[in-house]
Amino acid sequence: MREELYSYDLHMGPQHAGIHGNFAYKLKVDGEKIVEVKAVPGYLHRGFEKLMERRQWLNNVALVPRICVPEPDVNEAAYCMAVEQLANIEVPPRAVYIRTIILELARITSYLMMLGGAAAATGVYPVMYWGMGQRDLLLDLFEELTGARIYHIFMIPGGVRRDLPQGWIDKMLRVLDAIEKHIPDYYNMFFENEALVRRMKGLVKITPEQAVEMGITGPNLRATGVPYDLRKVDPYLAYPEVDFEVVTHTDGDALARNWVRFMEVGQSIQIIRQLADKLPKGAVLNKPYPAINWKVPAGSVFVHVESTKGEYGYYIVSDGQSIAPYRAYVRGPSTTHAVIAVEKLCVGLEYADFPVAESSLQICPPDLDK
Amino acid sequence: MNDTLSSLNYEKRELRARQWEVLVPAEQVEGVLSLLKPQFRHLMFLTCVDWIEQGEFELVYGLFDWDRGESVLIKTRIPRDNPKFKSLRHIYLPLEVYEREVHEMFGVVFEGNDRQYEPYVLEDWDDIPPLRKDFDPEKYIETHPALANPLHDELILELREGEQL
Repeated sequence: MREELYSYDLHMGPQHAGIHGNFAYKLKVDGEKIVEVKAVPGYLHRGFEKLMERRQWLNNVALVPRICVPEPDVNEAAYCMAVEQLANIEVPPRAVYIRTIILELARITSYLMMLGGAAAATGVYPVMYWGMGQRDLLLDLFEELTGARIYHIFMIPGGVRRDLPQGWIDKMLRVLDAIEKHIPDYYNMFFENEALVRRMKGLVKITPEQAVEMGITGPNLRATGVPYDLRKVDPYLAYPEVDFEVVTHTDGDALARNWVRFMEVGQSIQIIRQLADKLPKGAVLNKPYPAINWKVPAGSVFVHVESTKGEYGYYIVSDGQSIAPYRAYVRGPSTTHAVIAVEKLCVGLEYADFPVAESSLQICPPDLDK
Repeated sequence: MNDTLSSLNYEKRELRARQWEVLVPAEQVEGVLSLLKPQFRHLMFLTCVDWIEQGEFELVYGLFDWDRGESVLIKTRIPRDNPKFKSLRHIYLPLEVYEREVHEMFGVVFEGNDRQYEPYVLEDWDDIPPLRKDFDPEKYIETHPALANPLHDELILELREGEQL
């Protein structure tokens, strides 16, 4: 009798279950306690992997950023780096630096949105309003540089499309100063805010062993205390030439995960300043291939980069015969976070805490559904 | 190169800095993954490549060593007409979801993974697994007129003229 009265299925999502994009969870609930979680992906499946097999190598550059909305540039970088590996193309040093600057700016834009989302899940909205406002300044920079605010399509195999506009670096540094000036405000509103801290402290605590076992990556992994950052561990682009410390926290809970993200905003600002200082002169594009009907030599390679959500990678296979990739696989960080981690770790929570837990894991369904 | 990795007696090739591919016969994949697990603690991905002309599926296990930054892709081939493989989720937990994805997209059956039959990203799918090379999206649209966009048809045909793909 008790079972019948108290136990029921609760469908969380697919509209805004505390995460960007559409994703659903089917919860089995006893009273207010979650006793079972089942992930229901697929609402954002657009068939990118099949599409990429049917587009030319260069056409795909315009396709890949659309896989992930909050942080499209990691797609461009990983795809281009994979193609460059296969075709053995050397990227000019200036282009390497410009790419790294773009990736770090994209990290900040993504974090400003994510932290806002995480705070909003507990009802604290100012962080989101401020974050979105400042994110817009960065989007203006992207618009001036690439012509687009979200999907930049600026990196192509061999470098970047154009050199930096005159005065762009100075403008960018001024925007970074403006964001840095408000970092204490974000900190106070987020980490000194009792309403938010109490909800997040101790929520979905993950141990380092659990995290590695479940394939958790990115800030979610670093919040458990292990300094695993692909920018350091398997360095790419200009990261070996800049000086930065991997941000870690030992608590492994929702607050620690957001703290790592918050600290990485400041870290990215420092990295970009170093890059702007050292920016080499010279060409920005080495394009020893035809724009159409390009046949990339046969081979396969996996290239991964550190995105704000975790490890983001492309496994690309070329058969050497056709003018499109034979197979392109996208490794999105949310696959393990949204399915494995949430299904195993969110059991026992009260359902009101579920959106807070999800937003602290920063699940981004588009990179899972593809 | 990692000691355990260099001791493996299979065909190896360097794909890029700190990344190798190892070609392993299907029946020995379980042993190799168990052997590599203590060093390569992170499973980056599992995916499949459809080599339709050779009549084979290639399973690719991507492993990563967090401490040395080295990655290894374990590749194995299974027959395409009877695609069966042992589930290895007892070695790497995330395989539970990756095997489910490969099952849905390629139709490979992973014996021992009871969750693979749950729909993953597709809903009410009624055709061959879509990432197989012989699945033709354009034909699928013809048989599922509700999915087609009539406004685009003529334009697409016009643009497609002379295109090689």
